[in-house]
Amino acid sequence: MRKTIDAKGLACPQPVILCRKALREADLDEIEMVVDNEAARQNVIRFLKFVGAAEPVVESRGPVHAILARVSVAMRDKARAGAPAPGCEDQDQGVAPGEQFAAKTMLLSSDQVGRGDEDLGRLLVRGFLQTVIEMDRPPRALVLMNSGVRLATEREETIELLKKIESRGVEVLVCGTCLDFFHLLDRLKAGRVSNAYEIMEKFLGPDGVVTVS
Amino acid sequence: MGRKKNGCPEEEKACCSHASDDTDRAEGGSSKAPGAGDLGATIWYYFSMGAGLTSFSRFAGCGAKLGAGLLDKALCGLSQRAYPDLIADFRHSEDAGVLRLNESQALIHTVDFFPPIVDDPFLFGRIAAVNALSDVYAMGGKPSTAVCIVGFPTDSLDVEVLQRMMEGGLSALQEADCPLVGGHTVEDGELKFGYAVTGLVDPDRVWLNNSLKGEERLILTKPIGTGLVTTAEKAGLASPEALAAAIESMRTLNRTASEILAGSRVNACTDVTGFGLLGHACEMAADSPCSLHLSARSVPLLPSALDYAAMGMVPEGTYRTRTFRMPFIINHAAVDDDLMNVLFDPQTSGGLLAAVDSAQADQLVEKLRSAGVSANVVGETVPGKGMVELV
Repeated sequence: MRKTIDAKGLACPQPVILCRKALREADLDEIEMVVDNEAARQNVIRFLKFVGAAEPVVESRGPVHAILARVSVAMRDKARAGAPAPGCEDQDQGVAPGEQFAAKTMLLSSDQVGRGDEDLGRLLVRGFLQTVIEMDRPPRALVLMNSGVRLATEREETIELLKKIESRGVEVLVCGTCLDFFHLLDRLKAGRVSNAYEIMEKFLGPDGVVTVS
Repeated sequence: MGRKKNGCPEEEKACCSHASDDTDRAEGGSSKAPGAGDLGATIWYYFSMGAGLTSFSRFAGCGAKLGAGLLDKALCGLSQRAYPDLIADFRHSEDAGVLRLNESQALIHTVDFFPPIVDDPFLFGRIAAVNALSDVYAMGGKPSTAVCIVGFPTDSLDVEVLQRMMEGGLSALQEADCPLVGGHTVEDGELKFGYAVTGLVDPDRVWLNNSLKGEERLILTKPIGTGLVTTAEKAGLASPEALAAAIESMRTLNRTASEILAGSRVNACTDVTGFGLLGHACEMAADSPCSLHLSARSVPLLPSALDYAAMGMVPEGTYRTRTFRMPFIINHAAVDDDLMNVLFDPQTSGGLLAAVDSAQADQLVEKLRSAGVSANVVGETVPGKGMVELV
């Protein structure tokens, strides 16, 4: 299969990101990258060679360059190795191929991530939730405990993010005792109220638990 | 600054040059924040994706910079009358403008602002300030005052973000003993942040870029590769180690380096920014009564910078500077293509490149290192005519 990717008008490193993404996602035999600036031309060629392509064929018409390379299995493997590119994260632990979720339960036991600076902690938690949405395989469940329940009750921006996470099929469990303690039981806007028994089942179940503290 | 002396088009400007080079930049990248405590850079990297400041910038990489052609057209033929006390103005390719005030003092004046290069507001503010202050240190001066310059998108960003940027900037200014005296904000579709800084220097000890004499060795005070690492970060490929090292480097003031260097004779100095190490070395050698030997293998690189060059994570400006500077470089064959791209990598908040008395170089490096500065001798002056020879 041959794929042509139009990366015209994109600044570095976007053309390389698109090229890598294409090699990772499909079993291509040939890839053609169309770019319209010199830096992108050189960087795409550099990247293709880095993953093992023979000298790519370049057709230039004015500032527009079409870079064509044959894709080998080894190249696809090399493009798939290493850190994931944004938007195509792979889970490499405990997941069967084709599995929709990572076999993990994530526990957020605070409305912040990390200790040291509260503002940063809040910024981080937002980034964290955003990233969960974007993962190819999100965790199967997300558990909110202690002040973590504020994320589903008081903070508009995290409520929205949690709703999106739920819409991806992730179970969002919110500790009932904690909601009660903060007098927030009637203000739950995302996820569902859960209890110690259900949460304990998650913790002791086959899925690994990741605590974000 | 950054003009050739006739003020006319000549130089292909590098991406991400500091703003006293008249230009802005936008380098992609996110960051592990100071005060993030036990949070690993890896975790920060995942969290910051899609949530941080750099996503508010329309421009990717170096796109925010005003094109070289445009800028050259705007400045071509621009001149002003002679001021007897002017030591450096926009026609000189200096790090900052300098005006003699009296027998013992000259005023240094510089400005630097750009769109977010990291995702964390505090860190972005800090790096913007460190970068602006650097021009004063590169002239051998001490910063006196700073004013803040802000373009802020009130409809897309919370004012808390501005507050955090100001705090980050202030953390650097305080470390530099440089009072913040004011600022100016405008409503802007895209976030921009930076500072105009003044400083003082002894007019007889201003460190110009290209005043080599011929008996010097070159000291570099930070590793290079921030452009490659932040580009790789934008592509989601930067390792936590590389990112942490780049950020640590960008958030560090050149104050200690400058003060220690001032203890001995500095014949020429610049900070390594938009043109990359080799570009700035070329600038230093130009019009000198000597040439420079640059020992490519003794230049300290940020972790993985060389790998990212091989992977095509090369910022656009690298190619432009390379094309423009190649005629001034002898013995290209001494380094391979990837290392060449690291040597030309545009730096944000880079280190000082100082030409010091040969006899004092080793001792200075030792002093710098014991003060925590990552200093190395990377080259020396040799007989020649303004060229840079790679060895």
